[in-house]
Amino acid sequence: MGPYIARRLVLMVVAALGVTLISFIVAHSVPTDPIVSNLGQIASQRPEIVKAFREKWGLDRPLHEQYFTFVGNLTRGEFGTSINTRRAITKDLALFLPATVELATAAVVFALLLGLPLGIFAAVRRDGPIDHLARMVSLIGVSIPIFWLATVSLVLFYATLHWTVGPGRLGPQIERPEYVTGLFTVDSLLDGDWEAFQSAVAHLVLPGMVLASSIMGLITRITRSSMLEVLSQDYTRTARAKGLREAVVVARHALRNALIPTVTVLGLAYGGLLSGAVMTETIFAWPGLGRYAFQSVRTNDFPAIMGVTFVIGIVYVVVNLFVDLLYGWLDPRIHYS
Amino acid sequence: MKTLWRFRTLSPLVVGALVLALVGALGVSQATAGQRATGKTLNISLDQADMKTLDPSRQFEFAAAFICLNTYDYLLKPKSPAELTIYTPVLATSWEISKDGKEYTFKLRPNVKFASGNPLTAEDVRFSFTRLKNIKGNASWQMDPLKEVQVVDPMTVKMILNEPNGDWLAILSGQNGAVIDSKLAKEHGASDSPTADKDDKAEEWLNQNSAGGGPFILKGWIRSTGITLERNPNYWGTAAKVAKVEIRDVTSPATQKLQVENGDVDIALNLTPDLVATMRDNKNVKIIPGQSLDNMYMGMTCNPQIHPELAKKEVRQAIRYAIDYDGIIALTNKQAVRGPAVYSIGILGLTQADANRLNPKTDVKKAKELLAKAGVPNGFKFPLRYGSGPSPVGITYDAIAQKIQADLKKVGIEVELLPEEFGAMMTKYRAKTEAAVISYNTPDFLGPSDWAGQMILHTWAPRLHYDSAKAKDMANKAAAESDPKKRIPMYHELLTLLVDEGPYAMLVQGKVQIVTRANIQGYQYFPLGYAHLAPVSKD
Repeated sequence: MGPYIARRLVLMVVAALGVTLISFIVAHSVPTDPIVSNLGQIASQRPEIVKAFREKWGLDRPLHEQYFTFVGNLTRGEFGTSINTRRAITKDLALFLPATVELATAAVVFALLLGLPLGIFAAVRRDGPIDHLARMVSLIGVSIPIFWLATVSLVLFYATLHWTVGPGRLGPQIERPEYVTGLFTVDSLLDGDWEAFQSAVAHLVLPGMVLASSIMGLITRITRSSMLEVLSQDYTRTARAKGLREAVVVARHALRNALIPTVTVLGLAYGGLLSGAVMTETIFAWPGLGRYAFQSVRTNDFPAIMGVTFVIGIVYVVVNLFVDLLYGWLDPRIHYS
Repeated sequence: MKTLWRFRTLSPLVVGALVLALVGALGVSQATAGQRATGKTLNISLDQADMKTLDPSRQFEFAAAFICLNTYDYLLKPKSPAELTIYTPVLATSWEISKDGKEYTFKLRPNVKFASGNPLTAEDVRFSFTRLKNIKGNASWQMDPLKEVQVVDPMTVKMILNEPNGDWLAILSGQNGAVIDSKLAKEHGASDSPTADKDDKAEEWLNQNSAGGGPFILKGWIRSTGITLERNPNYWGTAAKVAKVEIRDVTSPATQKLQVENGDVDIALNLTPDLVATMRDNKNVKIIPGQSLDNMYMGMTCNPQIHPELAKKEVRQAIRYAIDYDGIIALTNKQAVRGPAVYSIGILGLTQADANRLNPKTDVKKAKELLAKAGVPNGFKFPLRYGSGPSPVGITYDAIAQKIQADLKKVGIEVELLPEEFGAMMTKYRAKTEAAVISYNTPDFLGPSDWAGQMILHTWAPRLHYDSAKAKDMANKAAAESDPKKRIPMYHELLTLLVDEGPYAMLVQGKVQIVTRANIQGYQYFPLGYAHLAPVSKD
C-alpha cells in the first residue's frame, strides 16, 4: 500500500497544479480588468497610479511569467500576496481554511448522524412509513436552496425561538482561543477554555445543520439504494439462512459493503463544501474559505484565486485518497497496486 | 469478530457527535446570555467585504473610511450632515487662504497628543499629505493639486497648490485627510519619499494598529470577522462615551437585521429599505435616517457612430422628459430623492427645492414633441447595459432598468436590457463603446468639483463622448473659485446646461437608514464614513 499512497501523493501535486493552470487561464479569460475592481474611478485614469499598481502586483509581466512566478512561490511553500487583503495568502488561508474545515466537518457529522440511519431503515423497511419519510426528507434536503434554508433557520431558531446562538464563530464576549490549529473547538480545548469551547460548538450547530441538509439527502438516498442491493445478495441470504437475527445481518453483514458508495459521495461532498459554502458563510457571517474565494474572484485577485484553488485541489485529492483507502478497509477484497 | 469490531468503531463517532451536539445545546444558553451582557461595548454589524486596507492614506472604501474617521483626526471637518461644505476646526484652529487661492496656512491646535503620546506638530501634517501623494495609491490623485507642504514653525503648516482649488478644504476634510503620527508610523516602515510607492512598508502594521489621534484606537482587525476599537485615553477632545467598539463583519443585510432585533448588536449599518420597512413598529429599535450622496443615473452616448439617435441632443432631452422619476422613487419605498444633474443635495447649500427647480419634470407630450423635432417621431431602439444585483439605492438595477424600459415605451422608444456582472459591465463602459448605461456616482470628497469633474471633465464624460467646451470651461472656473457665494450660481448655471445638453438622466439620490437599538443615543449619520462614534452612548 505504501507505494500506492506515494504515487497518489505525487499525482496529487500534479493534479493540483493542473487545477491552478486551468483556473489561471479561466481567471484571465474573464472580460474584467483588475484595475476596475481594485482602483477607484479616478485613480484608474491616472497612468502613474495604474502603472504603480500593475508593477506592485506583477500584472505588467507576461501571463506565462505570472504563472511561473506562482509556481516558483509554491516551491518555497508560499502563494504570494493577495491583492485584496494585501498580505501573504498563506496567512489568509491559515485564517479561513480552518473555519471552513470546522464547519464542513460539523456538516458531514450531522449529515451522517441523520442520513445514515435513515437510509438504512428506509432500505430495511422498504416501502414502509420510514422509507416514505426518508424519501421526503432527502427530497426536501436536496431541493431546498441553501440560502433560503439558512435565512429561514436563522429567523426561526435564532430570532424567534432563541434556541440557537447568532451568526459568527464565537459569542461577542468570548475571547478567541490562541491560534494553534485555527479550529476553535480544538484550540479552545487546548487552551482549557471551556466557555469558548461551548460557544464554538454552539455556533457550529445551526450553520452545520443547514449545510448538512443537502448532503444528508444524498447520503440517505445512496445508503438506501446500496443497502437494498446488498440485502438481496447471496451472502446476506446465507447469513439469514444461518439463523442470524435481522439486526445482526444488517449491521454486520450488509452495512459495511453498502457503505462504499456512501463514502464516495461523502468524499466528494466534503470537497465541495470547502469552496461551495459561500451562501451559508455569508448568511452566518462565517469567516471561511468560500467567502474568501468569492471575494477573490469578485476583485480579480489572481494570486488569491490561485492559492485557494491549489489548496482546495490538494484537500479534494487527499479526501479522495482517504476515501479510496477506506474502500479497502470496508471491503477486504479490494487491493491497491 | 473482526467485522463486528469494525462496525463498532462507528459507535464512538456517533457518541462523539451526540456529545458535541449536547455541548452545543448547553453552550446555546450560555453564549446567548454572554451576547446580551454587552456593558459599555458598542457592537456594530458592518459589511466589510469592500475593505482592503486600514492604512489611512491607502484606504478608499466605505467600511475603511468608517474606521479611519474614528481612529484618526483631521485638520478640519464638515460642520454637520446638513452643512457639509462649511468647516469647523479640528486639529487646525484656524486657516488662511492667500488671495490667489494657492496657499493655505493652518495654525495647529496646541498640546494635542496622538494616542501614542507623541505630540502633534506641523511635521506630522507635512508627512501625512506628502505620503498620501507619493505612495501613488488609490486615493493619491486627491493630492494632484498639491505642490508642496511647508513647515513654517512647529505649529504652523503651509500648503502650496499648483492651481487654485475651491474644494481643497473638502479634500482635506475627506476620508484620506487623516493626520498621521509620523514618528510612530516611520518606526513601522512608513515613508513620504518621492519613491514611497516602493519604499513605504507600513501598510501591514497600519492594518492592525492606528497611528492617529482620534477618539478611538485600532486594536486589531481579523479579516471577515471584525475590528476592535478602544477608547483613546490621550484624546485631546471630549472622550468617547463607550470604552470599546466591536465591529463585526456581517455581509448579509438580513442577518444584520436579525442581530439588531435580537439585541446581539447595537447598530446595523447595511440594512436595505425593504428590511427597514418591516421594523417600523419594533419599539426595541430606532431608525436613524440620513441623506446619502450617491447618485444613480442613466448615461447616454453623444457619439453618433455608437448610436446615431442618442447622440442627438433633442433625443436625450426627450428621454429625460419621458422618465417617470416619481415612479422610480416609489420603487425604492421612497428611500431616495430626486438628485439633480452633477452634484448631490447637501453639497454647497444645494437643497431639494433647488433640485426640483433645476430638474426636468416628467412630460410625455413634450418628450414626443422633442422626438419629432429630432426626426424620430416613431421612436427607435437602443441597448441599455447595467450591473446585475443590488444598487446603492437599495433596489436592484434590474428594477430601475425595467421601469425605464416601460416609461420609454410610452414614447415609442424600445429599450433592449443588457444586464451583466457589474465588473464586466464597468469594463465595457470604460472602453467607451456603450450606447447607454445605468451607473452611479459615489463622491470621493464632499465638494462639487468632484461630481462636476467626473461628469464633465473626466471619468464619465469621455466614456459617453460628452465633450462640451462650454461645460468644461464652466466646470474649471467653478472648481477654481474658493468663495462659496460666487461658486453657487456658477454650479447652478452648470446644472442648467447639463439638463439641456448633457448625456445624463439623473434618476435618484439614495437615502440611508441606520437601525440602532432603542438604548443607543447620539448616533448621527455622516455621509463619508457612516458616523463619528465618540458621542454615541449606550444606556
